[in-house]
Amino acid sequence: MRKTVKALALGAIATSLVLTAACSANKGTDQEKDTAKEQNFIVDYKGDVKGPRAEVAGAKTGGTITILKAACFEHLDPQQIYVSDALSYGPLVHRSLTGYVETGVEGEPMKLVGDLATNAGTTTDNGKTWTYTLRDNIKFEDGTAITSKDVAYGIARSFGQFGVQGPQFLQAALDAKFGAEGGYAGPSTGDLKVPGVTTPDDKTIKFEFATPQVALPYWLAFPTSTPVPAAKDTKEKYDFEFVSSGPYKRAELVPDTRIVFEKNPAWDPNSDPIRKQYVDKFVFDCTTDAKTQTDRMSAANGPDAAAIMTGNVPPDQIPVVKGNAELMKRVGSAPNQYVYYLNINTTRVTDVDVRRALNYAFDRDAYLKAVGGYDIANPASTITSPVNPAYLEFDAYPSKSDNHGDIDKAMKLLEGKTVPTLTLCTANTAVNQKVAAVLQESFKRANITVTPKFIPSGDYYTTVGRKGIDCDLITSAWGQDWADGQSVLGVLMDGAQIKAEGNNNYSYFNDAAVVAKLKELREMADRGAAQKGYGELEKQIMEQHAPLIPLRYGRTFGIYGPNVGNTFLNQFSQFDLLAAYVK
Amino acid sequence: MFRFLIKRVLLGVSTLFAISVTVFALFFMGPADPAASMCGTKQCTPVQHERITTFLELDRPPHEQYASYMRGIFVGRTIGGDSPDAIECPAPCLGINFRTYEQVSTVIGRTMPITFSIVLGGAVLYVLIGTGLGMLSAIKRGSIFDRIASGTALTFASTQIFFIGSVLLLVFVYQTDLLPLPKYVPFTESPLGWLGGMIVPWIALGLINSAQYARLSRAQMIETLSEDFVRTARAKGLAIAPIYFRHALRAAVTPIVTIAGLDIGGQLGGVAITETTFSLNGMGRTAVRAIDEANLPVVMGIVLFSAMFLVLSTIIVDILYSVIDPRVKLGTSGGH
Repeated sequence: MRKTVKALALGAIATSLVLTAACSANKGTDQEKDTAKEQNFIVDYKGDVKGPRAEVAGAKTGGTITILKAACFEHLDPQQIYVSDALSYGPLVHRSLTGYVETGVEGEPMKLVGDLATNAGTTTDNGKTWTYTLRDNIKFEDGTAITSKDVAYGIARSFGQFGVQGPQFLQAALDAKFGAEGGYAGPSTGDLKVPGVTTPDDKTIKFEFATPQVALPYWLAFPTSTPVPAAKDTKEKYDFEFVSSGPYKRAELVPDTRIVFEKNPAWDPNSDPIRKQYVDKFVFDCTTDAKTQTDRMSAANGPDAAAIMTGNVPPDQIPVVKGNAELMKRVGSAPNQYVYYLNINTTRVTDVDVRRALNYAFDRDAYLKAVGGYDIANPASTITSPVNPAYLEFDAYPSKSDNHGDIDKAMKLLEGKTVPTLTLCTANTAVNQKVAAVLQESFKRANITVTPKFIPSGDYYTTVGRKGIDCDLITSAWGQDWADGQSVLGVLMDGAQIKAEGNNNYSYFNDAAVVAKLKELREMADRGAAQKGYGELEKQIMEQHAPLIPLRYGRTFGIYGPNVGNTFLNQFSQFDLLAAYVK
Repeated sequence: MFRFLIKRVLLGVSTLFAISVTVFALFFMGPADPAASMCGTKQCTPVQHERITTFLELDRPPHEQYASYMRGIFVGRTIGGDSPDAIECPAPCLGINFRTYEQVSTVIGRTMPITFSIVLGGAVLYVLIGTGLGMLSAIKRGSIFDRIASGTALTFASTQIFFIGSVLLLVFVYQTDLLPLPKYVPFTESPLGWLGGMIVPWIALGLINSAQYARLSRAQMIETLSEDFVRTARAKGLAIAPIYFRHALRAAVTPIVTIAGLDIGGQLGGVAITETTFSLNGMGRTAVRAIDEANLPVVMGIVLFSAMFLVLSTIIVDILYSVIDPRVKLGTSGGH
């Protein structure tokens, strides 16, 4: 999932998608402890999950929920959606072939299920060919039946001009020439035939790939696979004139200002295992910044009693919120999908004991205070975020209890070694300047000298993504594109993917055994079963190779209104509304 | 008068031309790559990047882009060239929003009434309150009223809109619900809703900006009241009210009109901080976001539109001079 341009400049958090809280452990000295729990992840290949979604205990129908946003959705054209807010609330109006069922109930696993399709996908050749059958009684808002051709047309759109801002995984896997000369370029060219996609009948859609693609059920959960009626494709205007397939439809849309969704009478609850239709209307107020959202949600007057905020409470307002016990009952706070790293360039810092010593010498407490405190970040010890199903809780280089690191162990590892001055590369931002100072002080305690090199934010990832860059230490951040270890370790630690430019593996870590194991995990058809393997591999990577220092997990801190029922932080770190109700 | 108008319009057009060239030049000198930010994926290939660049006409030399942009304002244009997805942009075409493909004229059409409502309503409040207070202070010069009015005006003038606005919102809107939440409701849809939605921003603008008008009008009034013609009027036994309002105020108000004209003209281009404080997406806030996104057409459109208002307001102020002060004659080499 792409974040804003600004966020892009700050980190390679360019893309991400997450699973809801699997487990986390806040190691802050005086912080609230997050509930640590194991959460399994289920991919419903068999089609056990059927509509309607189970009733929520105590839920009522009626009322209006207001969603306070700093800006309107960048896109509501389904094939252009790739940002967490639209991925969270777009499903109110858009259905896709597959989707996620989240309940927010502790211990209940999140499920990847068939949405418009009857299951998460059927493959008989380990992922080269996939077949999806559509559910019965699925309709657009005008009452027209949704057919596989509408789904295929939607996917075709994602190849064209009005799909460039959406995820591109499916397209790249279907068409070897995608994004190059001669590649399929969408239905506007007059060619409706998407490479590898066929619709034998109105209820069936097939995908054929040159190589096995076990991630397909995840890719189809993006609105890339949302059906679009060809006759109503208004191209660039479809952002504002989309045709709904979900339980709600557009009632009012003033760009940059306000969007209202009302009930879609053509939607059949029996066809939908993911959503409910308790609320009469959803009103998106797209003009309120995070500070105003916090003030309004704190007071929760009038319609704001049934409102949610989509931003994070600004750091300077968090102490005020935490000082109000009643208000804290309406706070949603959990680690999110983003993990921040200090990559150690393994092609330059070749001695693994030096890399281990750097891990021990890192002063996590000073670092967290420099970036804004424990309320907006959690101390990290892993490459994978706690919200990912592949997460395994471990700490290969534990600090002493004060969270300032373990200098004794670092010094012991460095005995008899001379470490040259290390160059720290980081984007030139105010926060990073503080971080650089903290890192210098941290490593100085182990007699390691670090010289910062600040790179303009706009060029940062292009610069450090070049193989052979003269940086020893490189800061970065990452959030997974889909809820799978492949979307983290498979991107960040796969040495086979290192190229001349555009790398995401900023440690330039390349170990043959790890590459082989990642390939094995990548090709496992049962993704639920594959996740454990990623966790174990990650532990092994950190212990044996120490290619990076996990700095922090991002953290969400938001408030919802007292009259909003059944909301929780979903996999995109937004308050879930797919089965919410007004009390 | 006609000659004056022609001269001022020509001057205004050349100003707008200079501004448009400057904004275009600044944009191309900057490091922004809108095509890269639109190519919304880490896997963006050079071919995809090139396609977007071509679609947005960013591959053409700056002077051609400029010419195309200016032509579009008068005769419209097709954006996207030969692409099957090309977008028709009828005149007055100010381009399309790079991120949403929405026409910039539509963006301005949507945001302008919000900014206008804030600015014009606020201006009525601060000019009336400020001038009224200033005049009374001048008439009651040295009195308790004068001291309190001057002190209060100075206090509010020393604060910022984001402070006063936040306090008003917190105390009167969020906590006590005494004033309605600021929001824009079109006047044509509901005059009362429009009034209610704008009242808090107007109060904030009125409190802050009335101070300078109060101080200015007080000083002008004091000066005018000591002029010979006022003394003559008094000596002739003219009543107090006509002296103050017909003679003194009329003479004192000229610099106030100048300041108000420039203030309003400038603010019509967007009051970004006010709009942000009160969560209203007017032209100012939209422009700030567009700058952040390197969204040149939106920036250009709003800048040109704002400049146009500033130019217009100065022309109107000049015309008003002649109405207010008969000594000023337009189109001649100076009145007397």
